[in-house]
Amino acid sequence: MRSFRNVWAFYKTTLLVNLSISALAAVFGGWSNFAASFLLYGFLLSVVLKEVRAKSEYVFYRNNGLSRMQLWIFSFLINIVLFLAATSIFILCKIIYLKSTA
Amino acid sequence: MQNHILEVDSVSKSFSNRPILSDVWLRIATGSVTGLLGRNGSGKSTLLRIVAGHLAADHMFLKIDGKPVSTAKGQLAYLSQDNFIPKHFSVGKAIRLSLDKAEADVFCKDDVIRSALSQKVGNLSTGQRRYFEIRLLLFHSAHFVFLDEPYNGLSPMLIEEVNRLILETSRYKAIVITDHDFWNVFEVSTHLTLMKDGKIHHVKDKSELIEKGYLNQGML
Repeated sequence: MRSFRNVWAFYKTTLLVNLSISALAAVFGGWSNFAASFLLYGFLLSVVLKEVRAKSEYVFYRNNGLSRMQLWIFSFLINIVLFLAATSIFILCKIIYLKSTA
Repeated sequence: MQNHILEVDSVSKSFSNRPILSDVWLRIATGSVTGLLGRNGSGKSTLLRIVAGHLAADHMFLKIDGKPVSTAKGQLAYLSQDNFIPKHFSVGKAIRLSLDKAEADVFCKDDVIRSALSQKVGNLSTGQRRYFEIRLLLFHSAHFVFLDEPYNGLSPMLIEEVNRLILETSRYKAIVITDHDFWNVFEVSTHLTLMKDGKIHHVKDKSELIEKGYLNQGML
């Protein structure tokens, strides 16, 4: 459980950069660009930025039993799960809205 | 209490074809504090970073409790020279992510820590932050603790507290400490080693540090 909390804490630090880049992508290319950015290059850029600006933080997570690679892989998986969950909720709300206005 | 042993053998590392470590051997056991001394650039930090898994060696054998392992992850806590706890974390959050509830309760029975619990790590003073990091690692469940320049930025009173903690926790941990503040390293160490020319020299008497060129005559 503590390992998951560590991964979640790491993942949250990638989220702001990822969302900012993906929002910008959405402005220029709509939903599909947002999806591609959030799932792939926005996430990758946030990890690269961490590598440049906060490399020493990996020592904290390694002391808590998580390697850099494990953090990246688990964060990537959380990213996919969150994206799918958010997309499902959005589609569900849309369906409910359309049915209520029909 | 169970005894734990970490042993590294044949550690070698070169940077741009310049050998930094060559065929280094080190063995540490719980109940000991190993003072690792050496001049700037002698390879002390490189060795600690390699064993802690933060730098790849050109060659290394690692054994824990006699069993060959590829990494000491989860069993070794490492204090890097740079601050390593994310500065946007609160002190309380860093504790919760690192220690179990029971460990955290004991950990917080400290005036410096208790007064800083709700503060962001980045807002702590240099000394408070270093002290927090060292204390966190010494309370960590890992059997092996590497401290790279722990005394940097600590006030004399915090140095005294750190030394007390090192001596107390070394009863059930194996600690390696490297720092240029050699008097404090002497104070806590049960064994002394010297890194020179990319190799480890085991020191039986402090006077050998003069013979081997680490200290000048009259410094002891």
